Amino acid sequence: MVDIKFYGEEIENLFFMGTGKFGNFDIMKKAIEEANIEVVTVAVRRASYSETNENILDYINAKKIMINTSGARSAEEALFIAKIGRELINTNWVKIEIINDTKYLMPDNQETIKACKLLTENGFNVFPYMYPDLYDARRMVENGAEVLMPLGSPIGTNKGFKTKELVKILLNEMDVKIVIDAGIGKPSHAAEVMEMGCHAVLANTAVSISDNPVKMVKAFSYAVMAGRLAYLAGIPEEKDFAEASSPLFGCIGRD
Amino acid sequence: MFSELIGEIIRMVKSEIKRKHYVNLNKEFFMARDIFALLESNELSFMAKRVLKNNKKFFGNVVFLYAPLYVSNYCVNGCIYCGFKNSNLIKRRKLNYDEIRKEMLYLKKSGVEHVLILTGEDPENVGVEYLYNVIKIGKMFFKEVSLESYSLNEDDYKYLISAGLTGVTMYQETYCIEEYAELHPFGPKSDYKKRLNTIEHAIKAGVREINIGVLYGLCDPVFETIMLAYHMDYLLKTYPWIEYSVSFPRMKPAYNVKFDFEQVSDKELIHYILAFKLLFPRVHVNISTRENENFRNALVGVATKMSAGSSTNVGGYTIYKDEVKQFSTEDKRTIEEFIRYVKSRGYNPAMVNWV
Repeated sequence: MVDIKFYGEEIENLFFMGTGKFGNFDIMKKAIEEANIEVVTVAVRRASYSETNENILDYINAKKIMINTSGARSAEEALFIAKIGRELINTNWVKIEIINDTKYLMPDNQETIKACKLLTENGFNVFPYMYPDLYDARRMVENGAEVLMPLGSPIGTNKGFKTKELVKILLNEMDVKIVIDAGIGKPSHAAEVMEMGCHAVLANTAVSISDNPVKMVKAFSYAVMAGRLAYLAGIPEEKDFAEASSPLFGCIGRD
Repeated sequence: MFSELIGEIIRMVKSEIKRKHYVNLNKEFFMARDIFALLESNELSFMAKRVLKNNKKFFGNVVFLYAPLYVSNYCVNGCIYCGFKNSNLIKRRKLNYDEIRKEMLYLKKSGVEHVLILTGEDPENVGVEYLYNVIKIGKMFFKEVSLESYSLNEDDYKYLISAGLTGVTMYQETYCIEEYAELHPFGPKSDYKKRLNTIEHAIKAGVREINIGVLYGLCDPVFETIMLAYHMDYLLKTYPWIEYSVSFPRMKPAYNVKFDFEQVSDKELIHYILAFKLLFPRVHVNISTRENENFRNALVGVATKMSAGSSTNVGGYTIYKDEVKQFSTEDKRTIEEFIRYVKSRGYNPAMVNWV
């Protein structure tokens, strides 16, 4: 069912997974492998290259690793982190995450716009984590983004797709891939996102803190796929009243 | 600056503390003023469950570890509760750069990636230039270097940040103004407002992480917790980009310290921590090895930052193992032992939080 490409790369499993918050790396590894997760994000701030400590990178066997600039507070810092990530991980996919509010962890769109330009100029394929604002989205795309990653609700809250109406505007107006990142707390949220026409879902907290992360990753993968199939099949619109299966319009058309 | 508001806040807190308060524990967000009711509540189990749930959501199954490294015990202050106070006739030392490398290598081999550099307060013997060099060396070994030292100005912090400084720890020790003067009879630390302003100098200089706290035992612990909450509320609103931690240290015996400190039981301290965490779910709580093994074990999951295998005397890891400590530590486990325990609880002991 490959029908979506990100920066020219075909991705079959449209559930992208974050790698933070797991109790241990073995569970994370198993989750990635058993659910055939193809895209994982790794915060460079958590990637270790020390000889004494476990290295998260040794536990990730995925098609694409996306660097996450988590910890960055400006476009320049995001570029710096992305460059370290590229050296460590050898990938040019970067989730731009610039946050200047540690209480709600809301993305700083203005710095993210600048970062799109800086990182694209430096050869990165950018995935900007953003608040779904149409004007800002346009600027990110003008600055090199082919994918946008609007939040569903604030990071770690599991509140679901609270930004739905704003994302709908992006889907209508922007000719880019939309990956919903943050706040997606359960598989049904993920299915809802995909049914609406978004192109992928990224989650971490809902998986990593569940009682059985391996099962939960599978549940998310199935939900994302179900949502995508339903979108492609064309979901009939909701109606307020029952409609006869042989309606009047059928009779009118007969003669 | 918070110091400009402190008088008004203290007056309000002293008046409010006498009243009865109520808060619906089920509400989603708590405001700073809810601290009064949260400290009056008896629903500790309920509060604990909410805090553990919040922590899982925001930090996951992760506990960040760090280790302290004392590089000097020279001190010109007279803080009556401290083993390093100027009037104590102890051997004074300042590690030279080779000794610092030796200590750092020891910590590095244990897996430590975040070191907290500590000094007494003596700008003559331990100047900013020395701190700069220590941080520079630290950055060769560790990914994160923080500093707990004397009050510096904004330019000095900028200079240290240029060496690689990431975080600053600065405890007010107590928010009780009159008692502060008695507890700090002489030395630069006796300036209450200067101490309070230091955090903001560090923030304005560009430091990324701030750790604040009071020393429980010096003054009324309920008052201290409320003031801590108002201080954190102010910092979060004024400087929202900073990663904050709060420590909850209790007075511990120290060399030649005879001080009738306020007793704070385990249950009381846990109550303060839970109330604080409900107000500020995204702020780290930091529990050091001052506390004993059982207490620290109980708080894994509530505390998201913990030190391990600590030595609290200068050069105490490899060189001067038996000299006077700043205070006594109660959790004697090595870093490796503590890591094993954290893992056994299903948590990931994270050594790296910043590159």
